[in-house]
Amino acid sequence: MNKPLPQGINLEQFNGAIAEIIKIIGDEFVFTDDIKELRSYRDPYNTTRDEDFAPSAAVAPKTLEQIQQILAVVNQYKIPVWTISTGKNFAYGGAAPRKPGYIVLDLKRMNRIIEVNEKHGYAVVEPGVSYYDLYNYIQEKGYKLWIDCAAPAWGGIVGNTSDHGAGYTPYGDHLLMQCGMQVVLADGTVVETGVAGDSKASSLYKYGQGPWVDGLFTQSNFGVITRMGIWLMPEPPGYTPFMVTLPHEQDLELITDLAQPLKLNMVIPNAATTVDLLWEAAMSHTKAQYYTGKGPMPDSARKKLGADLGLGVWNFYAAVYGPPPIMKNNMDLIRDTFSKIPGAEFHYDDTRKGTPGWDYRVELMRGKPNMTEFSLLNWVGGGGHINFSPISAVDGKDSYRQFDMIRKRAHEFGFDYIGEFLVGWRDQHHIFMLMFDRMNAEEKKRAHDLFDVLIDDAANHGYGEYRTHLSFMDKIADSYGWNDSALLKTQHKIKDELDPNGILSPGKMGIWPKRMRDDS
Amino acid sequence: MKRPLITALIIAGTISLFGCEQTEPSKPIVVEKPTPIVSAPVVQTPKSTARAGRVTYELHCAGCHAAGLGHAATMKLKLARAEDMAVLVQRTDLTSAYISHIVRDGLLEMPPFRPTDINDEELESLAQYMIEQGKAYKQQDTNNE
Repeated sequence: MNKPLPQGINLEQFNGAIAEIIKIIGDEFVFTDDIKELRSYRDPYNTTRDEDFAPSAAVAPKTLEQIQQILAVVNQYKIPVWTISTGKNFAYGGAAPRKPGYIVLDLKRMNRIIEVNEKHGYAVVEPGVSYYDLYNYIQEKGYKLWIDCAAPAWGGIVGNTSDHGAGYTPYGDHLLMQCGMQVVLADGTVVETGVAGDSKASSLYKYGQGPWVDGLFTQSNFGVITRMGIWLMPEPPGYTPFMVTLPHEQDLELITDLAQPLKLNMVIPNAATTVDLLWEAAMSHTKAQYYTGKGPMPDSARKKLGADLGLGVWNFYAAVYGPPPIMKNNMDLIRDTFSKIPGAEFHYDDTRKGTPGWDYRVELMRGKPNMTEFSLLNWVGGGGHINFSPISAVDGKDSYRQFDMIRKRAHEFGFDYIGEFLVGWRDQHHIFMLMFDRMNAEEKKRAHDLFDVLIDDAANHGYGEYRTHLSFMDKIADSYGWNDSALLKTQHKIKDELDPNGILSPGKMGIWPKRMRDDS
Repeated sequence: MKRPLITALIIAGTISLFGCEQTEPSKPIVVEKPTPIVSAPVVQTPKSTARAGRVTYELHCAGCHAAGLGHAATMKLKLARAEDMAVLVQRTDLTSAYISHIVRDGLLEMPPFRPTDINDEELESLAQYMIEQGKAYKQQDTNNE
């Protein structure tokens, strides 16, 4: 493979830019070797060719000033940089850039925990801080605070929050819990949001004055986030996680409709999950242990799997928190509600502890980072996976329709439906984990084609996705095309104003700078 | 300087490196200005000094490779290889070169780790730690027999 270079940049210019960046951050943190260094900046799990997302270099500044200086260099050369935080955005592209040849701006070395405030319950962190880092720090200091982490938890606060990620405690909507950020614009200007100056409320009040702009810097390419405030939940005096197993496919409708008022009224305070059988099973088993044929697992094997592992076709996880009397009141209400579903069974720590699927959910719902969910990659083996992630209402019929739409297509293309609904306050993130063997070219292509069709299906049904893989960012942006793509056009106007040379993450979520719009 | 800039995988012909006239750095477009002062005290400032092998292992490897249930790679290795191959820090067949290669390249389900996740020095310490752990486990196992 030839050395990937940014579009319109020759090797001489590239080396010129790299030489200048080396002067800023040192040779040790500039990576240009495609084989020894940059393979780790590609997306190992993509559905197309490795080289589609191969960077030309990666550079890892340590300070804000270094970022400003690097941006000055790439502005001069008009070389795109692709910003990553902890770089673990797997299923959506990992650390890889949208197009070959970009320079990855890797902020992993900016890993300071600037502040943890126990009294007011927040932390201020730099982009390189992972969930493990923050969790370990809080444990070490003995603060009575919980984090809310993604699963798997090697990702980081800034990256996950700015990609609109979610967790599983009552603080599961990460962007909702974000408060204040520091951003470097393409021209080097540093902007801080929230309450101005050294106010004690700078991590307590999100909106400052005037328009709240923080959201503009999430899932976007309008600036480089260099610091973020995130609210942390005080450790509650009690915690009772539970699971409800449901025997029938149609129970998805029932559990969703029954959970909806409990969620809306905060009887269930945390981000609950309705998880399908195969997702659960994959925490401890592989497909081949139950089915070695081609295509999706047949019903007979699914039934045996569910019976062997004591799992439902759907498995609903949630928790209650607080002093014991509050937990008891809420659990009574929850039990009464879900017991209306024929065949529904409640499960608790006393019988499920030691089961990987249960244990990792129990940890996640109290903000303890773990990697168990990566076991999904064992299901078919070969590790390839991308997530199709439409939003649905917390509504039974809507959930079932969405599930049925995806499942039918997945089976038609020869894949299992492996999915979960992450039940938020008023919405659900429906995650279809499309698993494939990344060493099998035919399977990769089939997975790619399936994903492509699913976007069309979802759009036809009126569903939009909340996040997506590099390969499909343009297509999904197009699916938000109401009123002659007024939304995307607005985003492009902002892009052109804030980043006239188009250097910051071109193509992120379908937003391209003017000079790259025609051939993107 | 740890290595020359790109020279081998070039797509053009003979091209000089950054010493040439055309790439004389022009003035940065960003005007020099004071950088905002960090308002809060820095409570944690780990320098980029190398972590000990054990720390790197626990931070980056144990989540998937530790002994017991709920660890994806341990589960996979047990099924694909054998029970006694499942836990990396209980094995004596791993070499430093092999560990380093897999960490940087990934393998099947495992993604590669970037040099900013684990730098070269840390990778060497990590490999040594894992190998030593494997030897110690084997020794203990032998003593227990």
